Amino acid sequence: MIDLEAALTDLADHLDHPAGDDLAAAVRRRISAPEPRRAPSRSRTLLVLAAAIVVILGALLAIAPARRAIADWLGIGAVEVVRTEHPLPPGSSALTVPGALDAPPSGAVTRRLAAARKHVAFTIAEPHGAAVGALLGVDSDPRVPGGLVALRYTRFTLVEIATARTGPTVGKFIDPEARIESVTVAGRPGLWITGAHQIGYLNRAGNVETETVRRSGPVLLWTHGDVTYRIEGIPRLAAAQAIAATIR
Amino acid sequence: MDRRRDEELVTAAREGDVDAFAVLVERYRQPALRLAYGIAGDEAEDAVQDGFVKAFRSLDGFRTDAAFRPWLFTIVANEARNRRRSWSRRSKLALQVREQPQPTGAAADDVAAQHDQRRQLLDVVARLPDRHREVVSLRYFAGLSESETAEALSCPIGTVKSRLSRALNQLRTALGEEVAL
Repeated sequence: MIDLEAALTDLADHLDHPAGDDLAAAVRRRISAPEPRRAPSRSRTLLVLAAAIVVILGALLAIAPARRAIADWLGIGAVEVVRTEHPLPPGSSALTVPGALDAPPSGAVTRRLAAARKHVAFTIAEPHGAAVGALLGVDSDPRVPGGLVALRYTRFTLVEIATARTGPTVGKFIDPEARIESVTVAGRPGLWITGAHQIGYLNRAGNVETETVRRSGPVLLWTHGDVTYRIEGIPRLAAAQAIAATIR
Repeated sequence: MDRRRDEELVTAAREGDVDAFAVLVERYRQPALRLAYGIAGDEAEDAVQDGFVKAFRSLDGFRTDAAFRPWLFTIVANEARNRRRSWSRRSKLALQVREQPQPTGAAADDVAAQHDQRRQLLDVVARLPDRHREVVSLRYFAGLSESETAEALSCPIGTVKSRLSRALNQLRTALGEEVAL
């Protein structure tokens, strides 16, 4: 009788997989260049539209043991806002960035910021002024198309998301008690959301990162160019708008 | 051959040293391809390429006190899994054993018999449920230890052991007495 484990180990050396001779060169080319933004195509548009439906259905299933109807829709930039008819269940309040692995125990924030700049398809902007405080951490998620970066300051977190031309990449699910106000942020339209809401992300494969659905505090959302911005952690709209105005 | 340890290469790559990362690509190219092939068949090369690129772009999140290989293979396995999921789950996974030059003389029969045996084994591996084929691919095709496989799957080692045990039993059952494994 042959040892099955040994047979499988032997089989590994005889698989007819692609040789991958050009792999190192191809990887080198891709990591040496800034991440390209894909031009929208019909098939990709359909894919993203389908994925947007999946994110909503997926998240509703994830957060709703009972049936929830969608009451209304709103959206801005990379973010689609969906209101549900019933209160959301308690969720994690921890601010996490999908795909971000544990931060190293020590490491210069500036170095992480420099590295994050290479991982996103847009120019990372930063807030300025005395009210901003120290930059405590930088997380980036290359799985979000075009990239996502979160800058963690003492009092708030600024999240910058590439705005896909083909549709939203972030789903925000709010309950009936949450309020949404249309506001102006540095002269541009934005949304101020207060009350319970949860956030889920679509990754590049169009899959919902349901594990990142979490409870979130007041949020100011707006877009500028190809980037959707989110400030989280500032309880008052005017203070959040003031910080937003310093971002460049 | 570059003799620097993974940790040194990762540290250099995190500083933007593309050459250092290319050494890691060469070092793990073959087991990564075997792993991805076991999960996603002909999509393996694309999955591995995307996996390496994503690994490079996620290096800042990699804990330097952790082992690089299982971390990398987690990403590659995810890429391969996503590609597998993107086609119809009902589509059959076609895996092939590499053809070898046929020797002449007495050895020819032995080589042909070995080839058939490998082909039969791979056919039943291809029919395993995705979850079981994935653990088999990590453990035997990529050559991870059981604890590294547990790390790559983010599950307890006991889960890996039980999944492997079930997978091996399924393989034995599927093979039956055909090849008397």
